[in-house]
Parts: sequence; structure tokens; C-alpha cells
Amino acid sequence: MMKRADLVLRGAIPSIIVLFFASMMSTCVHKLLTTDKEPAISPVELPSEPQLEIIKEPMAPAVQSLLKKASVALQEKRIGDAEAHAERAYRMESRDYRVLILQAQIAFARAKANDAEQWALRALESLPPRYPAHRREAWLLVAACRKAQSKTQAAIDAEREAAKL
Amino acid sequence: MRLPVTRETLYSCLRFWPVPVLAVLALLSLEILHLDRLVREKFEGKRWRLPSIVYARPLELFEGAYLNAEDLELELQELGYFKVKDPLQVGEYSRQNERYDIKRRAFNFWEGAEDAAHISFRLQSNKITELQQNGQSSELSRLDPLKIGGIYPSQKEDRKLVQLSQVPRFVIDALVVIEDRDFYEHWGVSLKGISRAMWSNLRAGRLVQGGSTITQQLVKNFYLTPERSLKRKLVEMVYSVLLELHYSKDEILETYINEIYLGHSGDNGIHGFGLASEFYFGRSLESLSLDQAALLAAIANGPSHFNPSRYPERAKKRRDLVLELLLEEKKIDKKSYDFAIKQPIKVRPALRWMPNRFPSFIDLVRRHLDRDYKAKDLAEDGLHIFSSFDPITQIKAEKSVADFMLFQGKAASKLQVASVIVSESGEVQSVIGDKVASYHGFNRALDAKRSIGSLAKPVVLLAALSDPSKYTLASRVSDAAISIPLSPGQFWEPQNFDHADHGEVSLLTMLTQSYNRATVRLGSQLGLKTVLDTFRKLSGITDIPEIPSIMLGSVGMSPYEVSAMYYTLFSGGYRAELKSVRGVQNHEGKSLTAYPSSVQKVFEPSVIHLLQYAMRAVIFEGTGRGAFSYMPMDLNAAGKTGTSNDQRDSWFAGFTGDKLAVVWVGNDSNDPTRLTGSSGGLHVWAQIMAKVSHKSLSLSQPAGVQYQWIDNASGMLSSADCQGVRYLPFLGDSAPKEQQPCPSFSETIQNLQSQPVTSGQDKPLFDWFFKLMQ
Repeated sequence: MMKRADLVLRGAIPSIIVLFFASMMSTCVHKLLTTDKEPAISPVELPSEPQLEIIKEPMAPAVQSLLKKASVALQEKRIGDAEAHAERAYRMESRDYRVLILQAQIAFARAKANDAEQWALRALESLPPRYPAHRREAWLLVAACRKAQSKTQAAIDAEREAAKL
Repeated sequence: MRLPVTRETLYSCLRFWPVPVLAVLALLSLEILHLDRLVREKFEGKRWRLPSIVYARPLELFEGAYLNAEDLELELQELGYFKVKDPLQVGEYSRQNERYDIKRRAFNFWEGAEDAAHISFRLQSNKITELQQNGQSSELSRLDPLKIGGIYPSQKEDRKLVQLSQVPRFVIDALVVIEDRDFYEHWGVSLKGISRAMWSNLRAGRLVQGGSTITQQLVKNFYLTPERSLKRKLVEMVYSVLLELHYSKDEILETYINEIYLGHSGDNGIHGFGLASEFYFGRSLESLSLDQAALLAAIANGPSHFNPSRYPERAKKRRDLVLELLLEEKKIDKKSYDFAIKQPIKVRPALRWMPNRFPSFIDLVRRHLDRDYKAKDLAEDGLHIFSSFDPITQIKAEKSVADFMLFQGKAASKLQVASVIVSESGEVQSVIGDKVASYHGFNRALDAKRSIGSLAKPVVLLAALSDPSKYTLASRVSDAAISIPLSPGQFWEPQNFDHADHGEVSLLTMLTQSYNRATVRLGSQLGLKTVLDTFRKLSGITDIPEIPSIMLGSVGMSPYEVSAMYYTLFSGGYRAELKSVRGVQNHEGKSLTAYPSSVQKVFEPSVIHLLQYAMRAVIFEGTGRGAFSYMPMDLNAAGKTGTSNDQRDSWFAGFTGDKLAVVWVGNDSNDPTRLTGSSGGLHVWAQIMAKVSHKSLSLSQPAGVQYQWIDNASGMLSSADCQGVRYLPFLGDSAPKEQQPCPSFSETIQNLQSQPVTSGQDKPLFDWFFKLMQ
């Protein structure tokens, strides 16, 4: 038994020593091999843009349907159609943010920057404060409209408002 | 003495006989060539002057939309829809208790063409539910729009063009069989037809049948006058032959179908089968039944003589003759004949559709379009004009005016009324230019520039509230006598209506009670320039007289201009160009011009909120409180009365949640009316709003506005627990800082007793009411 234990100890110690040096060497080799590469870093969380909130104020399905048609038409660059549907929605619901901001987007697509700015300002006034992402988007649109009219300082003011949100 | 005419002389003259004959032939040829050119020119050029058609707004149908049964049936009747048990054909509808089924016509709307559709829904508590279109659930649908009038050429012809391919075969057959059986065989003139007619007339001993072909009838209508003479008849024959030489039977028939005179409506002739089918039956030519087609063909021979509305028996006899001839000529089978002959004569009730029943609104449309279209094009190009006109609102406004006039008794003979109604989105829905609304004449709504009186006071208040560091609704101003220098030695000393001095009053009370002196004092403190600038910003009008008396409305404005000004208050600070036209298409339905909405921010919504609050108080406790004699108590509204010097003009301008209306009452001769804004304009306004408005004004608090409890007597800060207080809006932190301790009970009684009568409203009740409104 003594001989067996002795044998184990005699085998284990060198193994441990070998393992230790092996791991040291592998670390060195790894370092040598990876010297030119950038050190791996864990991904840093970048600040993300606020997601547009779902506006909870009720809206008649008819108006929703018209806004949808207008949005699709706008995306497909059928501005006349978009305008016709948006106008119909505006007649039914003249004070809702969603209708007013679409009017602004359509006017902007028509290169009517002043009209678009006015619609966007009106949209902002109709939007309850609990939708900061939407407010931000609206202010950015106002800024774009003002830039298009070469109202530089006013555009900066609008961007500042957007940045606060 | 005998002339030396020898045989030789005679022979030599006769040798030249071809010359005069050739000369006559040459002249005839030239004349025929000339006629030929005329025939082709007119036929191939613009054949007709097509009036432009003005359409009302289409009635939108969607879940939850407000609609009462009476309004719906009125709209359907105006559109010429027949009420039946079970609607099978386009142009019919049924009502089973709350459920409506409508076979809507196809129409080329401004937003796009829509096919005929079966629309069904329920009206429950005046709201649309269970809306379906063609058997499927639908979020949105609409009726075709009412044709409200047109812009006509001087000849006042009205027509709707159709192509031959659109005309049902039995319409053509009916026409040919009754008017010109040999149409496809003759060459413009039918000797067989003439002989047949002569024989029939000889047998009858009077004129019972004409021998004119369809071609001849077309020539008579298209090229010539209805003059009855042999010369005209001969020219007609030549034209007919020339026409047949150049054009096919189909072309001639198509022209005839679009040209033929088929009736009258007001001043306007109904020309062509396309329009006639709508006029008589309320449906398109393509959707006519056999008996209806036969009736139209029957009328062609004499629309007055065979007028189906006035002489149904005569019309039926002639229609039945057409059906018999169709059967004889084997154009229809016995079964169709048996069915058609049993149908009664049924045309639109009272043939009520009159072109230009609403001349004041059409006038507005015309002025709107004058900027973009020449008058000739408007009158001749057959444009389709899609307007914002609401026939239900208009008809109810007209009724309100009529009721008011009835109430005035003998005084009504000298009075005149004008009104304008505008929607939330800035569209003009109704215009009344005369107490007789269908009167074509001076349009007072657009052109009568009358002194606006106290309608100007909100402008002065707005100018003050725009400077919250100095003025709030609680600020005080003296109503004592005031003297304003005009020029050396000349002064203006305005008086209150009751000639009383009301002491120190709040700006709110100044407006609700319409105190002149306080307003002028306030305006003087602000400066005339500030008041003028506010006027211009609000109204968009630059030409405002720079005189102090504009603070009391000594400026002439039309009701339309006042509407534009008050719209800025209605919208919350956004000025808009009021709209009467949404878009224009050409006669083929292609979009030409769109007129989208636009807005321009001119005042902060927070400031407008304060003014709207004050104008609401005008109705609840001020000079506008008579509105509730007509309006339901839960219809929240805001407005202002206006009375000019010597009561020559009586105004009310105000709005609810969905409508703005401005009403003027006065005399054309500018004589005093004995009416104030409260007893004149307000009454008409309130009756209109009670009928047409379905949405209460909501004063939702915008950003930048704080409400505080204010002591009425002192204008200082107070609390909800005190008596004699009210909840007032303020911009930012402009509310008074100084606190007024609650008075004791005895002090409260003393205060209430000592207050002037005119401000002695039941304040605790209104305080409670306003608390509820918050």
C-alpha cells in the first residue's frame, strides 16, 4: 500500500507540474498569436432611439382604414391618392395627431415645406405628452421642413426640442 | 312698233342657254359647299356646350357615425332613390324598422370610381351600426353625391353625354320604332315616311304625324331654329342629306340621343337621354327598364305635351304605343311586352331636382374656381366639381331662417338674413344669401359688408390675453365714461347699451356682458396698432380702417369674412382659407385640380383656449344665454353677439364641437331693425345649431394653461371652498399671486347684494357648473 501511494504521488506531482507549465505556455502562445488582433470586448449597449409608442386614443375604424390607405399610397409615391384619402380622414377627424401628422408627411412629399411645418406643429399640439417618441418624430419633421425653407435657426430650435425627448 | 326680234336673234340667244343654267348651278354648288362645311364643322368640332356639374359632399357612412333617420331619408329622396319593399335595382332602398338596405349607384367619386353597391346598416340611437357593403362587413361606405347645380352656358342647356355603346338596345329600338322606322334605310329624308304621314294626317283631318326623320329632327335642333317655314324645311332636307353623306347612322343616332330636348327644369332645358333618365327616373340610362326606355322615347315627340308628371295618362298612352310597335317589329317578345305594359308611370316625386336650388353656394364655388378656370371653360367644358356642400345642413339652415322670419311677423318683410356654416376641417357646408334661399340675386353672405359691432370685442380681448404679464381673464378694467380724441376738438365717447356705468369689471365680464366702454378702455391701453395687428392676424384681411371705433366693430365685413376670422378661434389658433371645392375632374372623370386643406398657425392654442373659455361664458351667462331656448343644455358652445350702432345689424358668430356658424340679420336699406345680436342673429344661430350640430365643444386644457380659483369680486387668488369664486384658466404662472381670504357668510351676502344687476348671475350655480365642466 505504501508503495502504491508512493507511486501515485510520484506520478501525480510531475503531471501537475507538466499541466501547470502547459497551461502557462498555451497562454503565452495564445497571446503571441493574438497580439495583432484587437482584444475581444463584450458588446457595449449603445443608446437606442425610442420606439414609437402605440397611441391609445380611440379612433374610428373608418379613419384608421383611410390612414392606412393614405400611408400605403404615400410609400408607393402615389401622392395624389395619399392626399385624397388623408383629406377624407381629416374631414372625419380634424384634431387627431395621427391624421395631422400624415397631412404633414404628405405635404412634405409634395415639397410644400411651409404647409408641412404648419401641419406638424398642429399635430404636436394635439398629441398628449405621454408619447415622447412621437413628439420627437414630429419635431424632427418640423426641423426638416424649416431646413427646406432655409430657416436655419428655427430648424436648430426644432432639433433641440427633438433632442430633449 | 314691234321689236326687231328675228328668228336669227332668237336662235342666237338660245344658243347661250347653258350660261344662266350653269350660273345657277354654280351658285347652288357654292351654297351646298358652304352648307357642307357648316355641317361638318359643327358635327366634328365641340358639338355641345356641356355645363359644369357641381356635386355636394357624398354622405359618408361608417360605424358610429351620427345619422338620424329623417336626415337619411331626406338625402335619399333628394338623390332620387325610390323607397320600395325590397330593393332590387340600383336607385332603390328599403327600411325595415332600424335597418336600411340601399342599392347605391355606381359613381366616379373624387377619390376614385366605385361600382354600384348594396349597402346595409342599422340606425340605433342615431348612430350607424352593422354596416355592410355587398354582404361583407365594412368600415366605410358612402352614397353617391347630390348634383346641386351647374355652371351653365348662356343657352341654359343641360345634358349628360352618353356613347352609343352605353345605350341599351331597347332604348335605341324604342326611339327608332316611334320616331323613324326607316332610319336605317333612308338617306336623310324618307319619302316613305313623308307619304305615310300625309296619309295619316289626311285620314285624321288634322296633323297627327310628322314625316321628319331622326336625321331631320337632329338637324332642326342642332343647326336650325324651330321656325316653321317651307324654306327652313328645304334647308333642313339639304342638311340631312349632307349629314348622311358624311356620317354613319350610328354617329347620327348617338348625336341625336345626346341632343334631343326632353323636358325642362326651372330655367334649364333637359337635353339628351343620359340626363333625361336621371331627371325622370333618378337612374343612369344603362339601368333603365323597358317601360322606362319606352316612356323616354315617347316623350321625345313632345316633352311638354307628354310630361309624365303633369299628364300621366297621356304619357302612358304614348308609352304603350311604343311598346306595341316594339312588339310588332319583333324587337321584344310577348312576355317582356306583357310585363312592361302593366307598369305604372312612375317618375321622381315632384321632379324636384332643380338646377341651382342653392345659388348662394354655387356663387361661392364659381368665385373659387374663377382663379383657376376661365368662365367659358366652366360653362362649356362639362367639368365635374366636387364641393363641400352639405344639403342636409343647408336645408335645415333654410328652415331655421324661415321659422325666424315667421316669428318676426310683419317686420319680416323688411328684414334680410345671411348665414355661413363651416365644418371643423374648414369646409363651407352651407351658404344663405337671402331669406328666400333659392333666390338668384345679391348674395349677402359673400357681398354684404356690414358693420360687425360687438363681434370685434373678442379681438380686443385676444390682443390683451396675448400679453399674459399684464392681462388675464381676471384682470380689472373700468367701465366708466371714456373720451377718445379723434382730431383736434373731436372726441369719441362710446356708450354702453344700457347707458350705465358698471364700475370695475373683469375682462371676462367685459366680454360676457359686452360692455363698450370697458372694451374701448382696454383697447386704448393696448394701443390701436396692437388691436389692428390682432385683427389682421385673425382675419387675414389687411384692409382694416385704422380708427379707434374698430374696437366696437365699425368695420364692414361680410358674413363669409367673419366666418374666416372666427374659424381661427374655432380651430384653436390656426387660420385656414375656407374651402368650398375639394377637386375638379374633366367630363371624362380625369382629375384636373385638387384643393387640399391647409392651415397656418397665427396664435398659440393656449391663448385661444382662454378666449374660447370667455366666449363659452358669453353663452352660459352672458348676452348669448338665449341660445338655450333652442339648443339642448348639453350642447356646449362658444360665441359672441354683435349689434351695430342703432341696431342696424344683428349678428351672432359661434361654434360647437363640429360646426361654426355666422348669422347676420338686417335691412338692405340699413335702417334700424330693433333687433340686437341677442334677439336677432342669436335666435337664428341657435335654431340652426340645434338642428345641425351633434358634437359639443370640448375645451381640453392645452399645455401652458393652468386653472386657478379666483375670487369674483376682487380678482385675487382664492380656493374652491370659498363662495363667490370661479375656476379660471391662466397662461403659465400669470394667475394672481395675492390670496383673497374667504369672506365670512355675512360678507358674502353683502357682496352679492351690492353687485350691479347686470353681473348678478347665480354665481355659485355657475361655479358648480364650471367645476363640472373641468
